[in-house]
Order: sequence, then C-alpha cells, then structure tokens
Amino acid sequence: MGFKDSLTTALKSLAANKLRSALTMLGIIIGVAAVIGLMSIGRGVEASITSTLEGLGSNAIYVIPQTPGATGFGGLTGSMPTLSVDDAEALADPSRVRAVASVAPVGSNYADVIAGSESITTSITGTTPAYMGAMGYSLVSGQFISERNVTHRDMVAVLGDKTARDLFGEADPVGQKVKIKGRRFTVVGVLAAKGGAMMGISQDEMVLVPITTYHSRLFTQRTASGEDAVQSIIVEVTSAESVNGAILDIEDVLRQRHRLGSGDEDDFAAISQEQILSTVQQITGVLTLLLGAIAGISLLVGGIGIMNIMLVSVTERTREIGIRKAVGAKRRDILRQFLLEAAVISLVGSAVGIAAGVIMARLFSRLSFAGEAFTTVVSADIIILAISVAIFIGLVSGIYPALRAARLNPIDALHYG
Amino acid sequence: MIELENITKVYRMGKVAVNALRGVSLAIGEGEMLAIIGASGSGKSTLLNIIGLLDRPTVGRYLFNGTDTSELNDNQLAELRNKKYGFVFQDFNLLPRATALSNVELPLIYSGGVSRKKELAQEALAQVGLAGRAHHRPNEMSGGEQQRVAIARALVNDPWLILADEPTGNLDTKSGADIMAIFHKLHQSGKTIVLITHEPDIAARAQRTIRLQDGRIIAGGV
Ligand SMILES: Nc1ncnc2c1ncn2[C@@H]1O[C@H](COP(=O)(O)OP(=O)(O)OP(=O)(O)O)[C@@H](O)[C@H]1O
Ligand SMILES: [Mg+2]
Repeated sequence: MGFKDSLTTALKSLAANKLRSALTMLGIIIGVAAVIGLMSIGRGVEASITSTLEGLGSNAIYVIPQTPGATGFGGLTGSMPTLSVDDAEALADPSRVRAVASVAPVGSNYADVIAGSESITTSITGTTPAYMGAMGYSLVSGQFISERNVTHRDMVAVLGDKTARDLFGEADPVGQKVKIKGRRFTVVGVLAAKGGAMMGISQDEMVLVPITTYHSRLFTQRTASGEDAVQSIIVEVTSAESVNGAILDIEDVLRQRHRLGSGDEDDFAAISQEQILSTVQQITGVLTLLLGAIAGISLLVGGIGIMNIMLVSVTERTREIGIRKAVGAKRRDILRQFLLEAAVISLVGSAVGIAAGVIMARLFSRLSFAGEAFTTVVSADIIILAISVAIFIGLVSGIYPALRAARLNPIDALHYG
Repeated sequence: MIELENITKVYRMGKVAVNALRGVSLAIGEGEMLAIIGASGSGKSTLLNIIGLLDRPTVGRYLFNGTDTSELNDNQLAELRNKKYGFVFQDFNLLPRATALSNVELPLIYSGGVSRKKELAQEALAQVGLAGRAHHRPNEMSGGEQQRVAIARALVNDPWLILADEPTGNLDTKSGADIMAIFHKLHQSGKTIVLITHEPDIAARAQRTIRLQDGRIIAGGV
C-alpha cells in the first residue's frame, strides 16, 4: 500500500468520524494555544523588564541600602536608610572611585501633586542633574534640574511624560505651577516618554525635584549618623570595563564612611546594571518556564486524549481492521493508517493551535497589566517547541493503539463484537 | 491446487480445549466448486477460515500450489489473501462508512502498484449487476445487494479461489437465488469456489459436496 493510499485511507476515516476527530484535535489545539499564549506572556514580561533595565546604561552602578546578614533581594527591601547625600558626594571624587563620571543621589517618596483642579498621587524623586544621563532620560520641553537649582534649593520640578499629561493634558506645563505637600513648585521641564516599568512602577509617572529641596521642604529623613538619607545612589563610570573596579572602590569608600570594622558586613549593596539584568532575567526565565510547564501539562492532557480516542477507535474498529486484513492489509498498512490518523490530528491541531495561540497572545497584549501597557512576545522558538511537543505526543500516543491494531489476528478481529 | 493434510484445530479457552477440527485431509483442484455441509458446530467455518488463510491450523500441512503455507510469514500470507483468495462472509463485512465502489476497491489499495483501481472496481460491480450502485453506502442497500458488493470485492483482484461462508444465510430466498446464480456463473467461467451452506438444494447443485461432523469429514473427502 503506497503512502498516498494510506493517507487517503486515514483522511477518509477521520472525515467519516468528524465529531470524534474534532474533539481529539481540540485537546491538541488547547494545549498548543496555551503553550504559545502563556509563554508569550512570560517572554513579554522578560522583554519589557530587560528593555527597561538596558535603558539604565551598562556603565551604571546602583548603590542601595541592605540589611546586613540578609541575602539576595530580600535584604534590599524595607531596609533602614543607610545611604546619604554625603555618601554620594564622597563617591563623586575620582581619586577615591576610579573612572567615576557622575553620581546621582536619589531620594524618593509618594505624595499628592495638585495642578489646578487635577490631583494625583505619584512618586516624588529628589536628585541632581546627573540623574537624567544615568537613567537615560531625555527632555521634550524645558530643561532639567540644574546645579544652581540644587545649591539654591529652588522650588522647581521636572515632570514625567505621563504625570505631565495627567495634570496638564496636552498643554505644555513648563512655567506652570504644581503643589506638592502644600508648597508651590514651578515646572521647568518635561521628560520624554520612556515606556516600561521598573518593579511595577512606571518610569513616566514621576515628579523630579532638586535633592536639596526634597530634603529641606518635602521629606526630611536622616541616617543614623544624622545625614540626609537617600534611597539609592546611581554612580556612572566612564566605561563598562571600569564597572567592577569601581564597585570595589565604592565599597571601600562607603565602608570607611559608615565606620564598618573589618568584621562587619556591608550595610549597602553596589550592583552593576549587568548583575541586575542577569538576576531579573533569571527570575523572568523561571516565570516563563513555569508558565510553559503549566501549558505543557495541558498539552500532555491533550496527548492522553488522543491516545484514549485512538484506543477506543481501535476497539470500535476492530472489525474494520479484520476486514482490511482479510482482503490483504499487512501489519505495516494498518500501523501506517492509524499513525497517519494520529499525525494528521496532531498536525492540523497544532496548526489551529498556533493560530489560536497567536491570537490569544495578541489579546493579552491589549490588556493592560497593572496599569501598564504590556506586549506579549511570540517567538519562533516557542512555536517550534509547541508543535514539536504536540506532534511528539500525538505520535507517541498514536503508536501504542496503532501497534495493537496492527497485531490483531485477522479472524479474531473479524469475530470481534 | 490446495492440499490439506491431517489438519487439526484446537481452541483453548483457559483449561477447556475445543477440538474444532480433528484431522481433515482435503484436496481442491482448479475450477472446482465445492460445498461444505454439516451440523452447526461441526467445524465448517473453522475449516474455511484455515483454507482462506485467515487462521492457522494447530497441526497439519497446508500446501498452496506446492508451497507449505506454515513456512510463510504474516506478510506473505496477507499477500496471498490479497492476490489469490477472495472471501465472502455471511454478514457481508463491508466497511459501513465507505461506498460500494470504495469497498470493492479495498483489496486493490493493498495490492501495490495497481493502476486503474476505480475502473477495476467498477467492472467488478458490473459483473454482479450493481453498476448503478457504485456510490451507495451499505446502509442504503438491501442485504442481497450488500452481498453482491462483497462478491465484487472478492472478485476484484481476479483471485484463484473464492471462499464463501453461508453467503445466503442472511438473505431471503429470492436474493439467495440471485447470489447463487452469480456463484454458478463464476464457476462456469473457471473460478475455484468453496462455499459453506445449510441448504440442501444449493449443496446439490455444487460439483462436489463434503460433509463435516465433529471436526471430521464423513463424506466426500479427498
Ligand atoms: N474462536 C473460537 N474459540 C473457541 N472455540 C471456537 C472458536 N471458534 C469456533 N469454536 C468452536 O469450534 C467448533 C466449531 O465451530 P465452527 O464455527 O467451525 O462451526 P460451524 O460448523 O461453522 O457452525 P455453524 O454452522 O453454526 O456456523 C464449535 O464448537 C465452536 O464453539
Ligand atoms: Mg460457521
């Protein structure tokens, strides 16, 4: 029996049992669609976070407080303020920190911002001019906080793209006033939209003020030694090669300033953009894997569905197998027919599943995710993975019933039922 | 030429063994029309299935044109069934979802390299007087018509031997007579035919009759 005849036979028999074939395919369709849909979410999260972090620039080093003794990210949150504006100033000295280009202290907190009748609650960041370059922002209008603003504790503010829109609509806010904690600030600039979110906080929803104004007029917070506390310090070095050396220098300077003895652990952490990126990628990689595993299970269930239906169909069609054998079908003919049926089901199921998965991914992209626009990523490797698993499962689950069908003795098959 | 020597068939069902055939020897020559009769349970179907290579004997030799069939593997048996044998069953055994034409075509798709399958199948249908029913499915045809489709299927590969197990058993007298007329016509055209029947007048019109009883031939053997 030629391949063409086998295929025709398989197709005819699938067409003769449309409902059964459709239900079997449904298992594969759902499985494949789930794999593609869910993994595209994982990949989307990964891509969005990665692009955000890459915006930081590979020359950036983050210095943040850390609770001594705690390891990993757990130690980084909810820590006592240990870093200060004075620490940042010390780090800006090129004779102490090699290759340092700029240092930006970052104080941040939440407050209501009012402009006319509009009021929003958003993140208020106190910093210095170096912040814009270190974070990779650019301006659409006006100017950024200047050194002069910092030394004079000027009541000026720079708005993030979304904050500007929320407060002023399409009008240019530069020169307008906003009220923060009852104090009036003059808007001097608006940042260009950056997109993406860092740990769920949009990079376009913020109000930036001079770090000196931040401490003296808005949020007074001090370290144990009485210096003005900051949430983080962003250090930029001149080249990516100097990052590791600079981290060592930063640690020396800060340990000295914080009077840590040789046995004491660091009360801060200096992390390069690369380290953050790899850690975050590890986390999102696990997320993608987890989503993939969940989807894989549904694919497996689909495979078991095929096996079940193929087994039922072998039993149901024992007589048919007997008839075919009586008129001269060989083992391999029967085997091929049943395998081809399974293959057609998994192939067609995969094709429809891919389409459904891609549509699903598109729909997910439309949904916003914690207020953030969110783009799923469907890549070729996900699709290839999904189809190969589907076809593998389809064939494996088709082989056993097919072998059983092929082994039947013609007369036993004919007398069945 | 088919030669059976001392064929025995034992069915084992757990501890119980049924001796369906107890030493049957039989020769069937080319162009013969042989009727097998005997009481129910005497072993007629068992014998016919062994002759038709659907089943293997427990003991005994079966020669087809001098070849010992016990030395053939499953694939070679399938090929013999396909090319040299045509089977007609009491309950037709057609594929229920396939048309008459597809049913008749079935042996051809397992033959390998047969071209003009549709034409050959159509010719076989015409031979049994069903040229106009090619696209009907079994459930759209009478029992007699279904049996004629089954005969067309048995004929389509131009086999050496046609075997029929009570081909008229499920049919009314009129349809049965039509079916038997086809068998006689085939016999006259030179086909070798072996059929099982319970009806004495069908047996009487066969060229030769053997009677089975308790798995042995008691009349008309060898
Ligand atoms: N697959 C089987 N397993 C066990 N016993 C069987 C099997 N097939 C047939 N037999 C037994 O073998 C004996 C002969 O059966 P067989 O079918 O050959 O009889 P038969 O002459 O064709 O009868 P009938 O006229 O009723 O068709 C019977 O006793 C039957 O019960
Ligand atoms: Mg019988």
